[in-house]
Amino acid sequence: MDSEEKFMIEIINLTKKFRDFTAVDRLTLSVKPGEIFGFLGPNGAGKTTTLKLLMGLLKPTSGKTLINGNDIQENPREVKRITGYIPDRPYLYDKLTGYEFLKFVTAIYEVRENIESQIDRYLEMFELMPVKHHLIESYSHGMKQKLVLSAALLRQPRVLIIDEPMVGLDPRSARLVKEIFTDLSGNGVTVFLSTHSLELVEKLCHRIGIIQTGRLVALGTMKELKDQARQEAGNLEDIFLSLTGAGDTEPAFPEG
Amino acid sequence: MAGLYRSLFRNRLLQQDSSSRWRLAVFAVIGLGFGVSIYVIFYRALTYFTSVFLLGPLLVVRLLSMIFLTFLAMLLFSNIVASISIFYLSEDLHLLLSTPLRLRTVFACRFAESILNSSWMVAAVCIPIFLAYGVVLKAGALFYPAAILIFLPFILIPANIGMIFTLFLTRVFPARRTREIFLLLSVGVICILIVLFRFLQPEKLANPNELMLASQFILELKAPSAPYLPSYWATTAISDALRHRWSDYLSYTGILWACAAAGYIIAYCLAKKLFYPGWWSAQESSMPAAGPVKGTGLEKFFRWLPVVPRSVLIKDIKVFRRDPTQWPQVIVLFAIVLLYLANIYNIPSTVMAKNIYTSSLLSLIFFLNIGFAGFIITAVAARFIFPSVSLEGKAFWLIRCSGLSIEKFLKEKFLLNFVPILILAEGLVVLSTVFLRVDTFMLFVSVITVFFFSLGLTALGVGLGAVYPKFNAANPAEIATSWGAVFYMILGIMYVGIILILEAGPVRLYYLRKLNWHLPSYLWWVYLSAALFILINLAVVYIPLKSGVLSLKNQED
Repeated sequence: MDSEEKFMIEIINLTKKFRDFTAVDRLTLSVKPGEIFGFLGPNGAGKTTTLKLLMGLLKPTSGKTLINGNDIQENPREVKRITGYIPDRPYLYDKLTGYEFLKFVTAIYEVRENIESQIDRYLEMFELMPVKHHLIESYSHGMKQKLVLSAALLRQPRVLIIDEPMVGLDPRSARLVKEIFTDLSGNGVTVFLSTHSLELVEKLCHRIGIIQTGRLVALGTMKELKDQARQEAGNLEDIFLSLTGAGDTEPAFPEG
Repeated sequence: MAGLYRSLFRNRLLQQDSSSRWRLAVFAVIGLGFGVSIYVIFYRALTYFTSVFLLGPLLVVRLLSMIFLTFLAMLLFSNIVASISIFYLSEDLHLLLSTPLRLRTVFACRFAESILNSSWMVAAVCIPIFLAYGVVLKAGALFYPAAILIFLPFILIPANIGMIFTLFLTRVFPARRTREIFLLLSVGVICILIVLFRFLQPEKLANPNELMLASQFILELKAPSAPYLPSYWATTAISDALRHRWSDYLSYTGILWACAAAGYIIAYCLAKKLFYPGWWSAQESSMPAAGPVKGTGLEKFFRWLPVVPRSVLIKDIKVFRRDPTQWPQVIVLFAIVLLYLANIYNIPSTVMAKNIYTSSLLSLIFFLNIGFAGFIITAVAARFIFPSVSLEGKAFWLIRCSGLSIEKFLKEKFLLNFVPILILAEGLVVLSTVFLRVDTFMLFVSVITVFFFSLGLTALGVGLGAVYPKFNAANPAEIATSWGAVFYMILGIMYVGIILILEAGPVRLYYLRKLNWHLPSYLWWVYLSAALFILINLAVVYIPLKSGVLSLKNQED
């Protein structure tokens, strides 16, 4: 890599331990502006922990994370101002309506311009307009996910960090989200997404990182991953299983 | 199922780290303190009652009957609330009911869980009471196992009745709403009982003459003691055990056990018919009522506030208004205010009238009122201010990811809580100064002190609420009774006590000088008190808020 190259996200030698358990182990990677980066790994590999460390929701044991050159631990306000985060479980204020929630978000993020039109734009986009004034507790999981997406997007962030973006979304919304990510990337927004959807990663991501037991076991474009896995043909599933060693597992239902 | 509960219990024990063991120890000491106090009160009262000529035994039994009747009512309420939660609203029920487990097994386990949840506190209170009865009436060692044999069916019967009642209620009304209403009712009933108890002035029992009056009151009280109530059977069985009339004891204990067993069988048979329909209806009703929510006009009302505090305030008000689990707090607030007024009402009639001769010293007594006010602010803050951070709940990730810094977030919480508590506290104190007709100096001292109490206790509540948050709590009552809240209460009361001690010297000096006492100059005392007053208030505001900020920043969810 070019040492002069500017990165939007930099993870440097990041380690997170929970007592004796190491969730993230000396992780180092960088993501360029406008890049869509897919973060893959088996269950419990450390994906969500990494994302929470990026957002400052957890404190690293060692190492650091930089977003647009700002360390989240030293300059959290600057990082949060330009970053949108969508967690895997959209816990919201259930007793607010969708509209009230978005209004609250604009207030705490100090968005001052075109609030009403921006809110309506995203509610319209995610087909939440009919439930705009309904309590969030009456929303389905997918609707909550779309509301969190709206909340993140209406602030026009420069970095989007997303944990399992497609969980709970119907196919129509999933396609819309994919299009949004591509558009955002085209406009220079960096998208860092953690997912189990290999199809999404294969179609959407410029580069992919695979993490296992807290360590980065593969990093690169699809082609580079194929080379690393020494697989000429095959899809991301084969590469993923090969690199994480999951391809060697015993059949679940052996014959006989 | 029993294995499952065993594993859950074992894992919970193994999970205990040094800090939770320390908390457990503090709770154990507080619990033990309460237990000892109950024992001492009953020991005193029973010792006196037994000394009353002829009426002694009657008084002893009447007191017991009142206790059992109160417990019966409390158990009935708490069993209904607990059984609705445990049988209809627990999240693990989806998993349990999708397994081929028999309803009999699920019912038995859940029933046991419900009894444990709703009856442990009554059981804990009963231990020192029975102990006092046994010791004062010299009942002998056999009395204690005999009392346990009475107590077990006594808690089973309201559990059965509560269960049967719940089975019918949930067929007619949605489970969640029914629980909310019962929770509100039970908090209301408990508050009324506490306020009534306060108005009865139990401190008078310290005086033998007043104890005589109390005994007359107990005798005259027309407490229902109908022979068909389980409380009557339990009272009679305990009295029989105390007097070693074992055959009578056995017959009443037998009735209790038979009734408990029959109740369980009836509850189970009804559950076979009614449980699933109620559960289905609970599932349907758990789907929140879809439909638009009307605008509140709060935006307009608070438009004079800057955007961020206005948004936080409006969000908190809306969540409070729309979440019925938070409403019992208002009842508690009213009860606390009533308790305060009861205390004010009692001051002139008891202490003042007997001991005070000058208006200056009358005002000095009013100094005590500041202490009451401090205690009231502490108690209100424990219910409303301490939980304010935790009430962000699982949505707190949003605040942490937002541009709103933790410092600013806590500052907003502090200011939004400080203003209403200050208005409430100053209102109460000014009202009581007018009521008691104290002089201007004491009014001044009260207003200033209460201002600092409001400031310090709000900071302490917000700060400690941030140090010990409970983002997973199901309702504010759970937060207000958590370890952090108890710790807050202890520190809050200590703070109020220290401030009063610091002020007591200079205030006393002022009144003594006013009475033309020739005193050497004690100005250094006044200066020292003032310096310590400022220092302590600064510390109480700064340290908890700073600790809260650090704690929330290091919070790992």
